[in-house]
Amino acid sequence: MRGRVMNRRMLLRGACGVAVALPFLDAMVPAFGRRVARADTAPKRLAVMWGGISYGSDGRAEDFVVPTTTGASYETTRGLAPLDSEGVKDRVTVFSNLLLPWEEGGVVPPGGRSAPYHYNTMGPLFSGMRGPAGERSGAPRGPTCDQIVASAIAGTTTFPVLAYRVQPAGYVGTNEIGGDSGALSWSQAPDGTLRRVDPTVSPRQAFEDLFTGFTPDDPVEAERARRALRQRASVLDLVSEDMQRVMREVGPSDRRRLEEHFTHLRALEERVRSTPVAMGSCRLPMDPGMDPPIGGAIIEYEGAGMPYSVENGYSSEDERADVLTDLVAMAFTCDRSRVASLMITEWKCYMNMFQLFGWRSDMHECTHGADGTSMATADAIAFHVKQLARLVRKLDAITDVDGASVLDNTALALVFEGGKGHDPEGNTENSAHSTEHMVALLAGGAGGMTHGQHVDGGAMHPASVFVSAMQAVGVTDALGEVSTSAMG
Amino acid sequence: MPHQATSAGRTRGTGRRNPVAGPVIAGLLTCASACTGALDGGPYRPGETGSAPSAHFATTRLRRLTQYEYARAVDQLVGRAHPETLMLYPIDPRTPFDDDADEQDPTASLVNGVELLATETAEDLLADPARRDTVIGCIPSGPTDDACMRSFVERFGRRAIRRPVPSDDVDRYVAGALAIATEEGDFYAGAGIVVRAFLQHPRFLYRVEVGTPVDGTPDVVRLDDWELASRLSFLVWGTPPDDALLDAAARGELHDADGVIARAEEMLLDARAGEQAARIHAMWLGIEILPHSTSLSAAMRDESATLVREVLLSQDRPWRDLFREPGTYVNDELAAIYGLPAPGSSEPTYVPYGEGTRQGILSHGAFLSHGGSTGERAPIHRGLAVRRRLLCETIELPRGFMPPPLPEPTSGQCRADLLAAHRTGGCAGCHDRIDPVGFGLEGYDIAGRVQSTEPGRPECTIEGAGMLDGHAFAGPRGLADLLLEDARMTECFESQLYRFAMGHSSLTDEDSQVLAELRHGLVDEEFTYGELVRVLVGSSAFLYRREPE
Repeated sequence: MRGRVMNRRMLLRGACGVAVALPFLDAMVPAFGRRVARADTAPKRLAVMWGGISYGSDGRAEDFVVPTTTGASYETTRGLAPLDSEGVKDRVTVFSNLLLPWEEGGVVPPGGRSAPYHYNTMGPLFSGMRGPAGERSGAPRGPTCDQIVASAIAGTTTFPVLAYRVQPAGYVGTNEIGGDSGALSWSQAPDGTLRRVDPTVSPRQAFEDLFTGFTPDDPVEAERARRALRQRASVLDLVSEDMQRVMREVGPSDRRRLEEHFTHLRALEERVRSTPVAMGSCRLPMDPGMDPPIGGAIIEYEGAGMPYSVENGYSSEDERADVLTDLVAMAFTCDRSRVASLMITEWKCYMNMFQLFGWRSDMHECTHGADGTSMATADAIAFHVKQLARLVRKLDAITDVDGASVLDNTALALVFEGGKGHDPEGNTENSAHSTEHMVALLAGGAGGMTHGQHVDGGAMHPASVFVSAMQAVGVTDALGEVSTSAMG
Repeated sequence: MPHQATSAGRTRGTGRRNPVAGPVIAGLLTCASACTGALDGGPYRPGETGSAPSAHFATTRLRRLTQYEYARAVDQLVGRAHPETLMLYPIDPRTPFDDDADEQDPTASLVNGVELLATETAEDLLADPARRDTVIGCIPSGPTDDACMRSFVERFGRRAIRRPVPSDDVDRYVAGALAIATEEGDFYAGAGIVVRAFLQHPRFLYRVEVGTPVDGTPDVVRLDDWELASRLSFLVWGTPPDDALLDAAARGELHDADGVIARAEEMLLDARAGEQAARIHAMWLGIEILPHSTSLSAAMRDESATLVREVLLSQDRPWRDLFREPGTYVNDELAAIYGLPAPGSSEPTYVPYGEGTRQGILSHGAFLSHGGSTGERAPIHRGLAVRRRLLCETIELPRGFMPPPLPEPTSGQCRADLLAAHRTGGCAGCHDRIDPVGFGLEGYDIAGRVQSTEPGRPECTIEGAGMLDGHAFAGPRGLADLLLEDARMTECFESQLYRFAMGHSSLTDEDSQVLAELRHGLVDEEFTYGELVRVLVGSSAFLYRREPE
């Protein structure tokens, strides 16, 4: 069980409160998978990621993100720095000059966004379907790429899609992210209706969900884990019976709600009763421990000279992302899931830049001329690039069932809310509220993809990276109205 | 230090309802294309007589405990809720309240999170022998002490599901618990099973209301005493019923409207009622989370909460006195921001406002924090807060309408010049209604500090002249006085308390009829919070439930 033994957070805090960076997958994983399984082919996996930020800084032409040359020998920029620090530059392709078309004269082009900027790019990017003219809506008009792929390749995995969000709070207003704003993944029911999939935000919960039933190697620990599972099963027996009794007593409306609850309860029961089979490099990761505390709402920026909060607006997102990418890597390795959807930050992200980069502003205000301007927006981009680069590095270090690395069987793609350029709403140039000159990253060896280049996308739709990633894992459908693959 | 002031400007029985309420509604509905607006319910007509209102009922969906209620429930059951683990329980979107049943669709995150929370709560309880023994209520003679387990299941179960546990369920729980206790050779391992199961019980997580059928109205049920105890407790205290309230239900004391009203009166005397009233007002006003440092935000929240508790509960004064209070409850940090004499305390302490334009809750830093992400647009954000929150107006961008961006300021321009861009063409429909209200509060920055010039623009002198629906005012005092003359604010709060009590934000025609009935039950608009609660809990909407289709 959790908590009683050393956990990851305690280790990271280290002795005397000094944070120690540990190579998690090497040093912190108790040996688990003794049974080495080999197979001729490994499953294909997909990870799609989103950052709620553009790299424009209103009115400024300078650019600290897009490399000045294309091809393999491009010089890494400030915004792409994590590709170097994580050592994965040759494992990632950087696309620049992508263009998400927008509504003009009340008409939204195929795969395009409606004219208001914020909130309206998530739908077209992840579903390939055009947004509704003139409306603000984060909800896509078609199923998202992760769900399309999952329905094709998830097989019998326990979690068809791992939907996670790194940023747990909104940091403005009531500090919540809920509803359509906080979700990236939408599935389509047989009758065509779209359903939002709420992401798991707690790394601890994600760990618990994924690794229920895995028993540790140590015999004493293993016995304790078995007893704990037996107790969980007894509890769920009682609850399940209670639920069925209450469902018989209530009216039809109440019953529908309880039935939905019961469906999830049954899935939980199934997980508790199953004994997942460990294969190859599959290991039980170390318990991540308690989640870092949620940061409060930011102090609002009142212009030059006003103090900016250095205490709020941050919930250790970097640490949360580290845990969640560890979990995705091991979930792929253990074949608990083959598809992951990671919302790193919220659209129009207000996460504080101070704790990570020392800027006295949040990510959103950076794009509108607050402290740091273009350099700060490049750092905000780098924060997201780091999360993709980390996952690439982690997957590259794990041997898959076919003897290749898990990365070789995975496709990953990262897109951003916006780019830098023309803003049709304000009719301005070099704007952060623009979907011109967007940047996207594609990685992983699935489908024989090779990387290491900076490619000028020639105004191609940014969702083309998802089309490439889908093709790499064997799904050849178009993504909504977007059918061009970024890989040509 | 309790404030013993007479209620300033109190005009019980003589207050007048705004005679233009009707035309204002009509005007709103037809306002320019860039603005839509509506008010809740019908106009308030005190003393209006006519045919006795037929019984109207409220349709309520199956409600789940909010995150706040869940924490209070766990706290009440085991003596300690972990604030740090609560993030495993879903966040409740505010509409503006946190208990909107339409926002409570069950998700995998809920079910998985509640299981993990139950496990941790049980582990934490069993690791603390003193707390454990209190909760279990008996000392077991051995691992398989059937009598002790049985009494624990009955006692704990009644608290958890807020009604007696049927005997066959007790048998089932005792058998399950004793099986684990036997296996582990440990009574408490079995007791842990009981705690964990009840914390996931559908009757714990959901406010199940089955009631008994009512003749002639097929989809309406009369709630039973236990269900009414829960409704009362979650409304007045924000907690599940305690043992005393459950005992009252067991004695049949909640069997009719009089019994429910009498119980509500008693409950209003309890400190939990003050806490809950403060929370309800904080959600209504949108001041739960404030954009200041941790200590300043806390001081502001305490200020508003203390005013609500003191005026509404301790002093039992008219609800409208929240907007009339000639002083406030500040600590030294907040007093310095306001420019008031320091009370020499870190706790909220009563200080009169003295000269100036401060008065009541609208001059609190918390409310004035409705200033937007840049102070440049404070008039818009505050104007919107007044219209949407205090007057329950709906102001939304119409479909397909795109607001143009605010131009960059050029030198010599002041806020009014910048915002003037919003007062032309299609934008004017809304902004002519919004911005003039906000300009009346410009004399205070987003922390409630007095400001006479705009930040960074000393040449821009702030006049602080505002306008609300054709009436000029200056500062929070002027705004409060205008709103007190306007029936809409009082009606807005009435409808909001009703929304919170019923757990839904959108009102149906029947809800409007219920609200009209409630208003009939109040003598005039100088009602106290207690009177409003009593009228509400004695109503057919509260005592009955219409089940949705």
